[in-house]
Amino acid sequence: MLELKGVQKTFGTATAREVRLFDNFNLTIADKEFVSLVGSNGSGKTTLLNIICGSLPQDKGSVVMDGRDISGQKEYVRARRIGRIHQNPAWGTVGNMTILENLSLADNKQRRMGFRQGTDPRRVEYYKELLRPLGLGLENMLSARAGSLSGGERQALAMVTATMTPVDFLILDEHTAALDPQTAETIMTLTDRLVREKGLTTIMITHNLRYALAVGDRLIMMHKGKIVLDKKGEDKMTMQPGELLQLFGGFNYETPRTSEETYAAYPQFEAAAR
Amino acid sequence: MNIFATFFAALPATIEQGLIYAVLAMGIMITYTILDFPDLTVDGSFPLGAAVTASLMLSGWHPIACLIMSALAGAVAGLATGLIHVKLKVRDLFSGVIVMTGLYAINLRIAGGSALRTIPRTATTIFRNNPLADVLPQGVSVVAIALLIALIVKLLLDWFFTTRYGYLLRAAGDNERVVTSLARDKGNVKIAGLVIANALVALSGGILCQQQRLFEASMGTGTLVLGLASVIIGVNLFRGSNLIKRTTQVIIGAILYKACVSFAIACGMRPGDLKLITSALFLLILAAGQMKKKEKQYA
Repeated sequence: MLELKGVQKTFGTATAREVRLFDNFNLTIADKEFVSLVGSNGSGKTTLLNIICGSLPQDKGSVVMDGRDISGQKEYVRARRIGRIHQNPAWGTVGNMTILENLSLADNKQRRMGFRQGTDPRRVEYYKELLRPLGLGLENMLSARAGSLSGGERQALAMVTATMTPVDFLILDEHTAALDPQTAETIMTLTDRLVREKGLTTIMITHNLRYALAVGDRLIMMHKGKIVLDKKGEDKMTMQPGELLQLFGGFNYETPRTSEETYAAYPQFEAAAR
Repeated sequence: MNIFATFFAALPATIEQGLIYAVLAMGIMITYTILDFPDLTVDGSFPLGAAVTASLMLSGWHPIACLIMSALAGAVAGLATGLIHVKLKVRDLFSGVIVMTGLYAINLRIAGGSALRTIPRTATTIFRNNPLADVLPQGVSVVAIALLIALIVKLLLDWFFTTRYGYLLRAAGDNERVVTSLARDKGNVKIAGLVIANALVALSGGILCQQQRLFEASMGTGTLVLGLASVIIGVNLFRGSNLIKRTTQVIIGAILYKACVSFAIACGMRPGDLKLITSALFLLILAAGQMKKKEKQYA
C-alpha cells in the first residue's frame, strides 16, 4: 500500500513566482491497484511521482509505503521496490551499451555488483524469452546498441528492464507520449500485461483520455495540485469518454459546460470529496 | 641535419614515452570518455606517483612495490576529488583544481621538500639492472617493458569493463538515471571511476619517474591536456571501428601524440613554444568535444 499524508510542496519559495502546488495532499493507493492519472500540464502529476520516487523532496507530510514512512529514503534506495519509466525512451536504458548488456545490467540489480562477469551466458536464453513476447524481434538483435533502437523498441526494452527484477511498484510517467499511435498501442498492451502478470501497484500518467479509461482500475484527475475526480471499479467502467473530456475541458477553459457545469464552476474543486 | 633523420633517431624514445603515457591516457579515458568528467586532479596525481616512487626508491624499496604505492596514492587523490564533488557538491572542474593545488604541496613534502629528486644510474628500476631487463637485448628492453606494462593495464581494464561493476561504471557515464533505477548510488560509482582513473595516472607517473630517474615538482603541468589529446586522437582515428578496443585506440593515440610532439621538436620548435601548441590543441579538442556532445544528444 502506498500513502501520501499531508504532503505540502511549494515551488519558488520566497520569490514572486511562489506557487504552492500541494497543500495537505492525501492519497492512498491499495496493493495491486492500477491507477491512471490525468490532468493538464502543471496540475502536479509529475511532481507527485517525483515525490513518491524520491527525486524531489516534499516540504511537509510523508510518503508511506506498506506502513513504513520512507520520506527520508534516498531515491536510489526506493528504487529497490519501484520501477519507473519516463516519457523519454532514451532515459530508461544505456544507449552506448548493447541490448544484452542492458538486460544483464538490469538482471544484476538484485545481485552484488562485484567483479563477476557482467553478462551471465546462462541467462541469455531467459533474456530472449523476455523479449520474444514483445513481438519486435529484439531477441534476434541482442548485440545492437540500445541507442540504435527506435523510440518504441527502446521503450519496450525499458519496460522489460524496469520490471525484470522483482519490484512492487511501477511508475509510468507519460511513457507512451513520445511514441507514434501504433507503437503507443503496442506499449500500452504490453504495460497492461506486465502489470497484471506481476501484480504491480501502478501509477500511470497519461494525456490520452482513452487509455486512462481503458486501462487500469482507478482513474484520478488532478487540477492545480488537487484531486478533482477519483473513480474506481464500476464507476470507472461506466464513465463515458465524453464526460471525462468535458470535465477536463471544464477545469481548463473559461466556460465550463456540464459535468454539472464542472462542479458548479469548481468552488475549490469540491469533487475531491466525492 | 634532416628533420626526418632527427625524428627517426628519436623514435625509440618517442615510443617508450608514448607507451608510458598510454597508461595515463587510459586513466583519463575513464574519467573523460566514460564518466564525462574533466578531471584536473591528474595534473597533481601524475607527479604524486612520481614523488612516491622517487622517495620510496631512494629509501630502498623494490621498484614494483614503489609502483603499487604510487597507484594507491593516486587512488587516494581520486577519492578526495570524488568526495569533494559528490558529497560537497563542488563542480567537477573545481573539485579537480582544489585537489591538484593541494597535491603540489603534498608532492613536495613527499619528495622531502625538494622540487627535484634524482635516482642514481646504478639503482634497480623496472627498466634497468633487473633480471628481465638483463635478458632482453639492449636497446629494446625499455620499449619491451613499457609495452608489457601498457598491455597488462589494457587487458585488466578490458576485463574490468566486462564485469558487473564495469557495466555499472559505463552506465553511470552514459545515463545516470539507469544507475539510480538499479538501486545504486550514482555518486559512489562516480567516485569509484575517479579512484581507478587516478590510480592509473599515478602509476604512469611512477613508471616515468623510474624511466627518467627523476621527480620534478612541475612535471604534472599539462597532464590532463596531454592525456585528453591522446584519447581523442586515438578514438577519432578509429571512429566507427568496432574491431579495435577503446583501450587499444587510446594506447595508439598516446604514441601518436608523442610522435607529433617529437616531430615538432625535430622541426626546430623550441621546447618553450610547445605549450602554445598544446594549448591550441586543447582548444581544438574542447571544440571537437562540444561537437561530439551535440552528436550524442541526437544519437
